[in-house]
Amino acid sequence: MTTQVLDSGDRTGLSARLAALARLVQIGAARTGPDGFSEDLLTAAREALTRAGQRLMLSSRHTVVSLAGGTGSGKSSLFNQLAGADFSTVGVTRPVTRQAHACVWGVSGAGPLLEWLGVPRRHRYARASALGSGEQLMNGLVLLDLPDHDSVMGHATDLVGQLVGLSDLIVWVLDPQKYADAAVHRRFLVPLAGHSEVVAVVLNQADLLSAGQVEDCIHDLRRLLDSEGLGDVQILVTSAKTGAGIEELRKLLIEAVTARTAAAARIAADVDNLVARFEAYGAIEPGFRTDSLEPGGPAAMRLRTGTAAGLAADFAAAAGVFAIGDALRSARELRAMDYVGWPVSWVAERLTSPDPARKIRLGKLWDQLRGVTAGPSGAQQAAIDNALTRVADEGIPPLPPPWSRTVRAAVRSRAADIPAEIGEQIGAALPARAVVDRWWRLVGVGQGLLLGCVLVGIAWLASLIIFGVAHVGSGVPRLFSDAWLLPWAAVTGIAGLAGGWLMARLCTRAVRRAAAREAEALTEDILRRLAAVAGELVIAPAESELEELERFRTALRTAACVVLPA
Amino acid sequence: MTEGMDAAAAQSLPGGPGWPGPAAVDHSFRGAQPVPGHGGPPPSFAEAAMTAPVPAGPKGLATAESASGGSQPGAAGAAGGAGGQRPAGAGAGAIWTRPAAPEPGDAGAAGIAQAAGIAETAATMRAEADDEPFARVDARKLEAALLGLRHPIRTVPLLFESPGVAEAKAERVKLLSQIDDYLLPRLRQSGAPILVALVGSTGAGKSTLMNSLVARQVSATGIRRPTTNSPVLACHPDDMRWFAENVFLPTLPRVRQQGLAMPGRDGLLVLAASEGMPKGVAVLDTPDIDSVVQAHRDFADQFLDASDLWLFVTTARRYADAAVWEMLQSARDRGAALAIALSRVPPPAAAELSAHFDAMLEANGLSEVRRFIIPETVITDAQLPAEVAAPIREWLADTARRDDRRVAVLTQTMSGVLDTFRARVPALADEVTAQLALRHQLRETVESAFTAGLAEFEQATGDGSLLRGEALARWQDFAGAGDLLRTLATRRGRGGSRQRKQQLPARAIALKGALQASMVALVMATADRAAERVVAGWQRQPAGRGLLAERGAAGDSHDGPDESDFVASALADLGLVSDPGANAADCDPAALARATPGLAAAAAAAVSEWQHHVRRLVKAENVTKRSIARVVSFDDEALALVLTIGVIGSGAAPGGTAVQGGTVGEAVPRQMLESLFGAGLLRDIGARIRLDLRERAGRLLAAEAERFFALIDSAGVPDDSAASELLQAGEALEGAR
Repeated sequence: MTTQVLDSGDRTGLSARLAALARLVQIGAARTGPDGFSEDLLTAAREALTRAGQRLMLSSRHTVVSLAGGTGSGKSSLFNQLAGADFSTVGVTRPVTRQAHACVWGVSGAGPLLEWLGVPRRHRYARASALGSGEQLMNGLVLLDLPDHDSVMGHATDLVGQLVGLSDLIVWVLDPQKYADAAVHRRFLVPLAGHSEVVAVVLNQADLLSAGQVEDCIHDLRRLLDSEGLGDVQILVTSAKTGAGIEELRKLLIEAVTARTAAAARIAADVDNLVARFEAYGAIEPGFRTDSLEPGGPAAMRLRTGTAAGLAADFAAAAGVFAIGDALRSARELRAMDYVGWPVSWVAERLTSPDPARKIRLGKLWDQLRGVTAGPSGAQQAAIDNALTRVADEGIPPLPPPWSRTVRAAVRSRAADIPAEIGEQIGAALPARAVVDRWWRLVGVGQGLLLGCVLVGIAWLASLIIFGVAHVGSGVPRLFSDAWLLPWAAVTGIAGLAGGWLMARLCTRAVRRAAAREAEALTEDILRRLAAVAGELVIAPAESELEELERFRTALRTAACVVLPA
Repeated sequence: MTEGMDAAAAQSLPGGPGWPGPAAVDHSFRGAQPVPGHGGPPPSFAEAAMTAPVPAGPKGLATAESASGGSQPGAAGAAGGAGGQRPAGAGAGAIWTRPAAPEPGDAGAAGIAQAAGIAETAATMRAEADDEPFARVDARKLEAALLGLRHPIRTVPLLFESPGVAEAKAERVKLLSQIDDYLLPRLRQSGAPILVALVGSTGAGKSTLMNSLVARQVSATGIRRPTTNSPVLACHPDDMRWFAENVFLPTLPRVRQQGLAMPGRDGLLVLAASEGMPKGVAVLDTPDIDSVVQAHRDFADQFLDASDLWLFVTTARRYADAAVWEMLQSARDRGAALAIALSRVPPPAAAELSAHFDAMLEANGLSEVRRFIIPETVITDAQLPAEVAAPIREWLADTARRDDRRVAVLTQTMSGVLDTFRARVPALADEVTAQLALRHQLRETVESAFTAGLAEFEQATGDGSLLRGEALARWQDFAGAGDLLRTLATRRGRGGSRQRKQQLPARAIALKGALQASMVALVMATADRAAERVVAGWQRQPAGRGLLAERGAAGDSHDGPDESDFVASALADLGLVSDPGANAADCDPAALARATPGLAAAAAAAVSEWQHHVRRLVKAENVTKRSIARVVSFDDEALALVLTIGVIGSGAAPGGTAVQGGTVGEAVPRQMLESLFGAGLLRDIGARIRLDLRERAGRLLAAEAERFFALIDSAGVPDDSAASELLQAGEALEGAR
């Protein structure tokens, strides 16, 4: 996946990719851990971003080319040949080059670049004054002679690693003896896989081999590079001693310098590598969705359908919503009985049942129920935990490693707030006070009248018996003493009793119906509220994490996007 | 064999970790560098050597064979005087000659002490048998000790992932290969030819040197790197029998070479017999140590472990490579007999190069090592010109021919290897101890997670938080609606009581169900949390991560049945019926962070058991207040229900918050319970009921935890004494030397 980026016009494409990479890093940095984004990758990406940002700010008219290689591969000889002067020391004992040397063709503006590369001032050489006719073309070249990467001096290896990271174009100088060394392939060439465009390999010291041997050697080297993902790398054969192949190398450098694309191509290749490493974190299992990285964008990731409804039902069960409804109904009925009940029945019941537990007055119950249920302990933590576990296990679609964990964590992110919130919502749903309906009072008055009627009847009956039947006193009005009125008095009393009993029956039935309706309405209200709680405290955080995954994948697409110039 | 040679051997052994041969110390190179300290070498020889460090003539090979008669510098000179002495008690019965002397250099101190341990006099040795000069009277003892060490090493329990376990495993393999491939064969056949391994960088010309030594092309040479893919062993035809399959590197397949330079297939050992080889010495051309082919490196390591003498070959272009010095340092640390050839030296730069190389050797503590220099020259028939290879050839032949040299080589390498055992065996034992600690730590994680779980359970049942939500609403409904009273009170009189024995009203059943459900939920949540804590805790430990990954890999293979069996038996222990099939999903690694699927049923069963228990308790003990019992008798099921509510709801209100209307979970039950039972009795019986509940929950959680213990055990149950066995065997080996 190489990218053709032109210097001026397509830096925007590159900067969009870099911005997307920065987003990937930002999203990844919040999700590290044992199964999360690898710290190494994030560090590498941060470094690459820093490097790219710095490089793009520095001179775009210069191209940094590094000559890298092992001890004795003849880097310095090549460097001197190219520079046309003995700048870098050449020797027989190893290692010779311990510091990076730089030679600049066309000095203006290269200073900050060299500072950035960290080449000491005493190792900088300028070719500005000595630009010959052929060298005019090399204007803008910053050629670095790197120290030996494989010598016993470890710090030199680190310096090479650092400068190889900063260079726009890397020329690996190999020699017939060491071209297959693990030291160069493992440490340097394998990580540069995909950088074919900005890597060239030079087989130096060709003068030591016969033509056939060179052929053989090149063939073997090509095979090695192919196996390392560097199949398109250009291989040159040179000899610093005889000067063979130097012109081809110079031509390669001139091409790179005049095109001015190496810097951007290098960054693009770095981004490609990093994006490939990020891809694993955005890979969703094929069964779930196949169009993982297609442009156009798939639908947003969602929790499985029914998850929210199931969770709300679990919450309802945890809070005992139906039990609350039942309790409300009971309480309403009991409360109504105080008004619409037939007092005569109470007395009868009280007299027949000497229960000590009766002192728990049921009327108080409602207030207590309300206080208890609406508190911060509206639901059982354990039941809520289990409900969340179910969401995490069944509601989340299959996700790649860091995300499956982070979405689970998001599901539980506000678990501690849930019982209180449920309690609050239930409290808000419950009627503020024990309401007494007006018709209860009317019935109560009626019941009172009927009771009065019964009492009057009884009194009347008594007086009729006393005065009318027993003829105890005299001068009593006829109304209280006429025995013939006895039936009327009895009828009055019985009518009162029957009326009261009947009214209680009828009203109780009405009260039951009303209480059932009320309880149902309450239950529905609470269920609605609980669904809202579930949505706000569980589903929303989980979905926002899923959206983050979507953003990650979008950024991944942007960062991986191949920008082709028109 | 002459007495004079013995004397020379006894006198000239330097005793250091470097090359011990009497002619080995190449003073011409040493002399090229100023040697500070050491009391200074006797000027006569060193000075002479310094003036002409490297002959630049056509032969171009700087050797110092003539130095054999020369005196030793510094400490080595002192060694001559102290020859034959060794610490009392060490190596009693050993017969190999090794004049020993206290070594001033600290690096050499261990080596010399070891050498002393194995030492004997050459005279004794020769008295044994002339053709078997290395027969040792204690060889059998040493062999037995090695075999005794081999077993504990082989069975060392390296079960859990840890930062050091990969190294420890590699170390175990290496120890075993050193015992099997080198020490045991060498002990059993002390007369076998000296095996010289040609080791070195890719492209250094090992194969070319080999061909030159054999004077015939036996190993392929070429431009491609790496050239040598399979090792080639060359020796005199008479010596071939020593390298038969069952003796030398028994695990390695081999092929006899037919014709010239037959390229062996990768991984095969090619045996080449040649009349050109001196008797008593075999040369092994090994694959390189630093090419891109990783397999070569491992291969080379195996051969190095099996060799008596390393001839390290590097080139003028490579000698400063980090890989070269890593290799040399490992040879030095191993105490192996070592010689170095610097090849492809351009003749004009020979002096400068050899001086620099010497300085580097000296800086790395290898100044005593025998060096050869091979100039860059014309290669014909894949061989160096005869005169270039001659010194090395001579030297090899001499080593094979002269008993003192031979003994020195064998002694040094073997005692070098055995020396390393002194540190490596305890290191392995340390790793074993660490493994046991890891196992303990894994178990501890499980234990603490489930102990914490039980504590949470107790807390939840004790502080009234269980009486919330559904359970509370049901209770309020039940109690408030008057059903409570209707249910509770049974009229006096047995007959009536029996008549009224009826189903509980719907509200009571709902309450009972809600209570049960909330307790099951609590058990499940507790078990889930504990399992999650265990998995999270394990994730934080490399060993735990390894176990979990292993389980993921194992999937539902053979692990499954064990698991189900175990759960089934655990449930059976609880007196519960279980469906083993329900536990099949248990093999999924993600399920490990959850309670077992069977737990819900088990918990439900346990809770209803407990409810029964409460009821029995109520029935058995006359729990109601006497004043009330006189008036009413109660239905024990309803009473048990009330008591349950009382027990789980009687704790402090969660958070102690007095919400509008009263304290949570308290008002109603407390008032009623005290009116029914009385405070003292309630406390007493409540404690008993709670204890019973705790025990049941504890059993459930213990069964849950068992799953993790079984997983730990599935990695293997290490022997607690493994470390001490290993140490003892190591000590026994020391004793046998």
